[in-house]
Amino acid sequence: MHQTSTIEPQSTTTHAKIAIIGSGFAGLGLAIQLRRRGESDFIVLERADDVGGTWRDNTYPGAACDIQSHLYSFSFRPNPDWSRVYATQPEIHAYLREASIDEGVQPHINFGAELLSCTWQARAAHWALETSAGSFTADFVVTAAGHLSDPKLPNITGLEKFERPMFHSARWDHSFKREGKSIGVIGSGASGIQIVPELAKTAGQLTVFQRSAPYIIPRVDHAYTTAQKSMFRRMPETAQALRDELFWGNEARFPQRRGIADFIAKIETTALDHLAAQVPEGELRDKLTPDYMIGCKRILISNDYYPAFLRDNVALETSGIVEVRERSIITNDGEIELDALVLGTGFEAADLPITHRIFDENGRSMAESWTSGGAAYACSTVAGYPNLFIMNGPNSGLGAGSIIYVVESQIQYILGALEFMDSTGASTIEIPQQAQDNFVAAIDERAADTVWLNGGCYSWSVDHRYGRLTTVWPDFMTRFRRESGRFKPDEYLVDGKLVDGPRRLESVSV
Amino acid sequence: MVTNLTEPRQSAWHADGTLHEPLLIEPTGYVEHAGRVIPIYDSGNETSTATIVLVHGSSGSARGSFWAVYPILTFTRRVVAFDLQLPADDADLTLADAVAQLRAVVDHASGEGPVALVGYSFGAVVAAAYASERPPAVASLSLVAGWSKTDRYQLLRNNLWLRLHDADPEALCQLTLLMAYSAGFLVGRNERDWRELQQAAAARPYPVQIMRLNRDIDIELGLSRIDVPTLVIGCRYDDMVPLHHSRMLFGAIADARYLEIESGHAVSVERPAELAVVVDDFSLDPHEHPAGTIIRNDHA
Repeated sequence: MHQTSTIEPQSTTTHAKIAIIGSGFAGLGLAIQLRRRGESDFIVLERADDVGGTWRDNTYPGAACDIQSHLYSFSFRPNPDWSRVYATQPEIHAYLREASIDEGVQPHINFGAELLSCTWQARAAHWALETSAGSFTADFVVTAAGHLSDPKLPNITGLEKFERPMFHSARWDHSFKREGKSIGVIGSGASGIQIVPELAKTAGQLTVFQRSAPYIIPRVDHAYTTAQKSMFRRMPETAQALRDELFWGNEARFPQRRGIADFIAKIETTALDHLAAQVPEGELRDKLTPDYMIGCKRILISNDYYPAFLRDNVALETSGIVEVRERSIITNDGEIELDALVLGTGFEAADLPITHRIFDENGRSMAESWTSGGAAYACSTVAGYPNLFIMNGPNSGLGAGSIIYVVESQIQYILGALEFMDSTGASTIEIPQQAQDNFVAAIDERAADTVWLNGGCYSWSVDHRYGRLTTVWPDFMTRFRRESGRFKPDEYLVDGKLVDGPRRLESVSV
Repeated sequence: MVTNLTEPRQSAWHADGTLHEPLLIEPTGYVEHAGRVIPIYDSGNETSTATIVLVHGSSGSARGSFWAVYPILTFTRRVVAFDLQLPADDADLTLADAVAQLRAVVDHASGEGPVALVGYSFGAVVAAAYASERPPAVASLSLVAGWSKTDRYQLLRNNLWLRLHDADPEALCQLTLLMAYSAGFLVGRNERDWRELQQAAAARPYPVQIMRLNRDIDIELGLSRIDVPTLVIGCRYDDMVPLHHSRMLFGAIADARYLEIESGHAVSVERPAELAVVVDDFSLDPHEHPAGTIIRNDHA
């Protein structure tokens, strides 16, 4: 998955001041803000044929967001018309598509342009980008490729031998007719638990292969009434107040991740009572009871996942997969014949694929430069890679909260940096290794006290090659914005020199 | 797996992955004052910034006011809380007595340097009264939902509270819920959380001695003597200590800045993370905003 594709780049080269990789929430958000500031010298490179990132790709039955819509949307593009507390995939995708059109971003997007390589040219002081749709150069590059963009396939013997329909949840095959079929679902994470209740309705037999039971809490969801939507439209401050309330409600979940006993007890009881209310005592409930501390893996929300297992046509398989054969899965308990296999096995979040395609002037990839896992100053810039900003890169995910808040913090940071570079007329900006190391050490120190590293689970938040928490931010979202949401030039090398004296820049607000 | 919550605290986590016990239940030590023993809760962690001392409100206990806020503050610094001791035999509590107990706790907690004093509700009154003595052991002051002089509106509620306390515990519980929480918060709880709120209000009525003392508060004269940087936090939908009190504190204290949180009086329950983050930021750098600043938290 990490090999550079062999598609031949075209020969023409286009230059832009800024190149943004990806047109999901992060890339679109930055592009919108650039447009609103009157910046037109930028391009967006998008490998697919539409905007939306994760919300374009994940079209599986039941796909919906686990963060409330009024918080999981741009603060600068509020939407009074969200249909319900937790929006479904089509609605979020439509929101992003509409934003890209309304804000005039579409003309900047190169669709079908998959980034093959992105290499720093020291002499020219710009980046050379090779894509499946031609060559580009750019003074600045922003990677907005996301954490949840490249499907992760399970490492199971014989998986490639399966000869019947098999697809990852983020690559759903809509031509597949699931009625009456015997279907297997591997994985019981955020995608799996949304897919299972949908498939259960019509499948002949549904088998869920679970390695580790997730904690699940009730989904407190309802449709917004016409009156509520009209109130949000007529009085935007009511939607803002709701957004603030949701934000601080999510912030108040973070102490769970730090293992604070009162917070853990409350959320654990909520989850286990939910299980007990929906599944009678016995073997099934035992299998669905997690064996690690709550929060170590993502806490899921669902009202219809547990009840699906009470149906006659649904089975939970926990004995462990031995191998996959042409038409079946062999478990430690026997053989299960399948007409189709769905892989709800998540994404490459720790070893980010995009970082294998970014090269310094000596041809070393960013992934190689990370000798102990993902690391960035202000969660944005990497030593050795000047004029480049990562969105949703190292330690930018969340265990409790809305990633849109992180995205907007990073937009603010990047705009501040670009504004600073404009004001100085300098051509390169780079973070020294030492400043990056200090920043990362302060993250590692906080990470050491979190449930992700202490909770006794195998979490995708951790880069297991190094035992470091590299994917999520181990503190409050507010702290992320305080530390990484406002550009400060003090520690950077600008045109190779540290900026003289303490230099204060007005913050740029989005 | 049900998490083991009963082992004694050694660090945030035990080697076997289990957690320490809930905080603010078992005191970590005691401070003696005038023949009385004041239980304290000292997080004990090393800190390069000022230790925070928390003064609880009319609920009568550190846990009642700070069960959610105290642990968050310990992420970055040492925090000391204590349970105010009430006179025996239902004798009246005086403000001077409460201040004396606070002074004893601060003297104990300030070994490493001056502390960041944080008072909530009635605790803000005690903290402000103490700060007006210009104690050298205090570096900064945060007054959350506090007041300086009890007014007619508060007396009306207090009258009702005292009558129901003696006559109708169930109605008392409802009055407390009405007054402590914002309407939006109460309406927004799911059934489970609503039940818990009711149970908590019924299980722990405020101590009568504090409620009696609340009737006669007047510390206005002392406010002008407070000379440490102060953060006044008012709660927008506070029906117990309405917002005008915090605004008056902001006006009265020379080196004060002001911030409003969109919550009812029970801000430590409605917005624990916001309160803790704001107090933590201020205590870290009390002069970040000059005196007279109205601080506005960013919208999310």
